[in-house]
Amino acid sequence: MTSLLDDILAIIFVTALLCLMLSLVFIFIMHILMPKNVLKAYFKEPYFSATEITMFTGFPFGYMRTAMFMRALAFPASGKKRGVKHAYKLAPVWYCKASKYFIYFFIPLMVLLVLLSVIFYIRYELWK
Amino acid sequence: MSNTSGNIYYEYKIKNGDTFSGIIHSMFGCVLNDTRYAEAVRHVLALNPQISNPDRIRAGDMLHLGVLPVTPQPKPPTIARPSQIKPPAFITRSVSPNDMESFWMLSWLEHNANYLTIPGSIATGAAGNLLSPGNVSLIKKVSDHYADYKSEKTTKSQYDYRRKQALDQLRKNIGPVEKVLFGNKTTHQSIRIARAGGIPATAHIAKHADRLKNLGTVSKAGGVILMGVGLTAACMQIANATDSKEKNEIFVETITSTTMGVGLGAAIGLFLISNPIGWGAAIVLAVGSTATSYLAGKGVRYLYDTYGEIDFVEGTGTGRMCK
Repeated sequence: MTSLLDDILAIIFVTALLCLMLSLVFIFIMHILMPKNVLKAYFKEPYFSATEITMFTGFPFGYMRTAMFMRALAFPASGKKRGVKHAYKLAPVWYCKASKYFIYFFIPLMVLLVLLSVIFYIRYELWK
Repeated sequence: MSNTSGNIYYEYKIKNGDTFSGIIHSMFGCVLNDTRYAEAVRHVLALNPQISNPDRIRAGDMLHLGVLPVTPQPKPPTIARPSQIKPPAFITRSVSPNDMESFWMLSWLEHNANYLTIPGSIATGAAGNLLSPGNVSLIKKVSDHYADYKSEKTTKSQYDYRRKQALDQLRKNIGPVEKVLFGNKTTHQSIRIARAGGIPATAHIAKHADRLKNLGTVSKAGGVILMGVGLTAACMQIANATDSKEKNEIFVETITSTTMGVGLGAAIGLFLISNPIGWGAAIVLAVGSTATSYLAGKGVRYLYDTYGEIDFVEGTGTGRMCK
């Protein structure tokens, strides 16, 4: 017999997972729409190491590169350490804004999912 | 490489503007009035019998450069602090201890790169960034600036300023994690090789930079293989399960853990843009995200058992595929 709290948490967890799936679709779309001149100018040494360039090119880790640049374009200060803080000047304004709002949504979503994963894993261990 | 008489050498391609004395200077640290200059010239000419006149070398030609015969050195102390060691020939004595430490780390890495390249570079987590061609070119730049200063093309203050710029950038690229990893290691033997051999540290570093690029390719392929293995294993488990509920539990667990893994990868990407990390930290993050994906999968499995009514396996055709 489940309590109301369990039901609410279950609904939130499943909804969050569905939102995560939609987020990954969004990242895939942004990956395709990523401005080529940004990659040409900044996805190279010395901004990224040779190993990073190899790892994050193509399938399956290319989307991580997209996430990295989305943050650099949305929040230019985040690219200061790598020297990519001016990358936003090469991207359309709508791309930077879309990236910003997506990150505002995505980070809390991931935090919530991690917390709920821990909670339901504990339930799983008790249920086993 | 070695020639017929067994001398070990490596090949140097002569560039535009190179002179024979300039190459001797940059490779062996000897200028015209140094005691070892004549020895270095004799040694290089012995390795390059095709050169009849050292004043007439051409850009694009290959020059063989090898280790100079060295006089026996006293046995080094077991542990040598950087401040106790004489600096390499291409760094002036006026370099601060902090600057020298950066070069010693790189010399140490160059000397030990054979042991570090495959498992070690993953374990140390630092080599990928340290050995990037960007850092290699910064070392070359300092060497070039020193050569310009010694041949009186620039003043001392100009040399100091340019050297500081290059070293500041190098120190920034290396970062604090790598300093912690290598700061206490002895580099005495590496310095002996870099000084006495005359082979610049950059030659080995550039060679191992290529190996590290290959590591990146291997890691990427490994990720694809692991993902494929995981999905195949889940399919086999679904095929072997007798109960429809169990099949669906496996299905939702697999989908959830894969989705979480990909999502956490994106989250790590958001982190990486402002925090360039080495392989050690990357492995920690990868393990963390794998563990969290596992937790999420198990959590959803519990949820399906408690609330699940939809037959995903039949609905998506997975049951027909995984038989």
